Amino acid sequence: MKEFIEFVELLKASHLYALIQAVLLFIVGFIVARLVSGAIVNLVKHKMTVHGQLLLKRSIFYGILVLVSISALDNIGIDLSILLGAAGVFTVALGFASQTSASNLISGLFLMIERPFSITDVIKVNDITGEVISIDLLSVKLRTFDNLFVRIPNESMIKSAVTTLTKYPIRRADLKIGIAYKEDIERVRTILLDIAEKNLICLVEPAPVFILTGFGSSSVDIQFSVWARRENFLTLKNTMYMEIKKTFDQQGIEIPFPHVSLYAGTATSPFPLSSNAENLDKTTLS
Amino acid sequence: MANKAWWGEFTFAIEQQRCWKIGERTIMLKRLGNEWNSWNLETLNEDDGAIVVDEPTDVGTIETAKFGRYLQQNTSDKVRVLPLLADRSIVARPDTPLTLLAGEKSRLFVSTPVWFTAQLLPKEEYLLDVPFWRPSDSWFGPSTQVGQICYAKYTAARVQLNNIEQRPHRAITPITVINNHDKPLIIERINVPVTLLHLFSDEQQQLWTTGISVHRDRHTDNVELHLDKHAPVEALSSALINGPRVKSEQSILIRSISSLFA
Repeated sequence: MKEFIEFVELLKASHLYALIQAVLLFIVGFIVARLVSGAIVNLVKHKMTVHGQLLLKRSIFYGILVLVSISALDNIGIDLSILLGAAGVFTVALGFASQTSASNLISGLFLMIERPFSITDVIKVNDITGEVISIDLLSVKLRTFDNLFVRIPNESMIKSAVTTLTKYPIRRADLKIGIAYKEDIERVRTILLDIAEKNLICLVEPAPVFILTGFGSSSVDIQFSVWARRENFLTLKNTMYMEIKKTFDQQGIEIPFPHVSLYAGTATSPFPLSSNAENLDKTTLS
Repeated sequence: MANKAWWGEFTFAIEQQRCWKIGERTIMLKRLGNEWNSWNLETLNEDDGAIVVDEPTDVGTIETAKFGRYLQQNTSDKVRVLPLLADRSIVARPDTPLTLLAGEKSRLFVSTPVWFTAQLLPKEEYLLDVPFWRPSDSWFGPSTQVGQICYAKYTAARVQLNNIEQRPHRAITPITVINNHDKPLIIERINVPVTLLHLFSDEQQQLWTTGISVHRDRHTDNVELHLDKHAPVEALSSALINGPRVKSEQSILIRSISSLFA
């Protein structure tokens, strides 16, 4: 028993004791930070978005952790003012050593402040479209619609154009349609507006827009723009195209495919063309 | 015009089926020992006929309808069928845009479609909550960024009550607009917050909602929306049929003018 007390006294006198105390303090602090941040987020869960919850959780967690770390450092006798002085030199060294990470980190902070999108939003960055599953200090993680996990560094998020597809409740679908030159454009316009009116998920307001985009190489090109709630966007596009094709077929309106006419100039008469299935078969057989 | 109410509590024996029909539009319920079946046969065009409650013996042409099965350990015998107002606001437009002059007051009548609901008693679980004719989606707001999703189509807005056709599957909302502003108020479209309104029926079984008064005061872009507590005076010997979808304690709401009129 006496030896044990002596051992503890010895331990107390050495630096090891302070070090163990500091480590214990840090571990306890870490656990407390986790528990407290989790508990607070649980309390306010129903009043906040997923994005807000994550932000709150991290702020509380890192806040507690920083306080605990300072206290732990103080415990082992490290003077923080000296450490802060050294930080200037350290930052320069760190800056050179971890340029990319630091840049990502700063970009991450800006992303969190600017909030161009939140968790559960669907975004498009370069050619990648997916749902945001987490916004971290170094990167943003996406789940694409073919169920792949994509990690995009924050730096490239800041540098490139990001489209948030779920920002507003309604979206416009631009349907590209070509009709034959012989068709009555005014009639086609009436038919298209009628199809849009009958489609229940096509919004009445903003009204559908009919734009004649030009005379193409083989068709009169039309853009018919219709609006839908964003969750119905794809369904609307599909149903509208299907309905347009069906109605055009019923009404005898031709949707042309590219034509190429061989023509030898004005001076000569056109090539005499005729199609004869029987002759064609014989030629192929012989 | 239906003079017999199509709503109320209905008792079903096992294997009994009952249907509600307006022309071809049919909703049918059938009770089995441990499940309820529903058939919902939709049609493209609105029918103005009366709603007929019938007890067909065979399923017949309804087999092509949307079919639903609701399982229970033992089915209870009572179902409460009620009309209910739409689950979103409804936009109605007068035939021609109206201009309410400064300092004037006017009463408009708007008719909006109702939904068919069937609840199992005594637990009040919903079996069905479907529109007779689903109106088209629409957007109402000052821009494509700010506004709300609502319904349009199958509505009418008239200044004279006589001009509004009374249909059994539509409810009429009287809206009083008081324009105390020094500028006229142009009404091209009205957004009717039907989710906040009670539903009544009059002696002819025509459906009515609580009236709304919109007060537009001088020097402000906001309007006061007063929800009446009782059935409108036009509904004679009225009875309360169903409450609002969204219960609101307040009877006066402040809204921006652009969220009600366009």
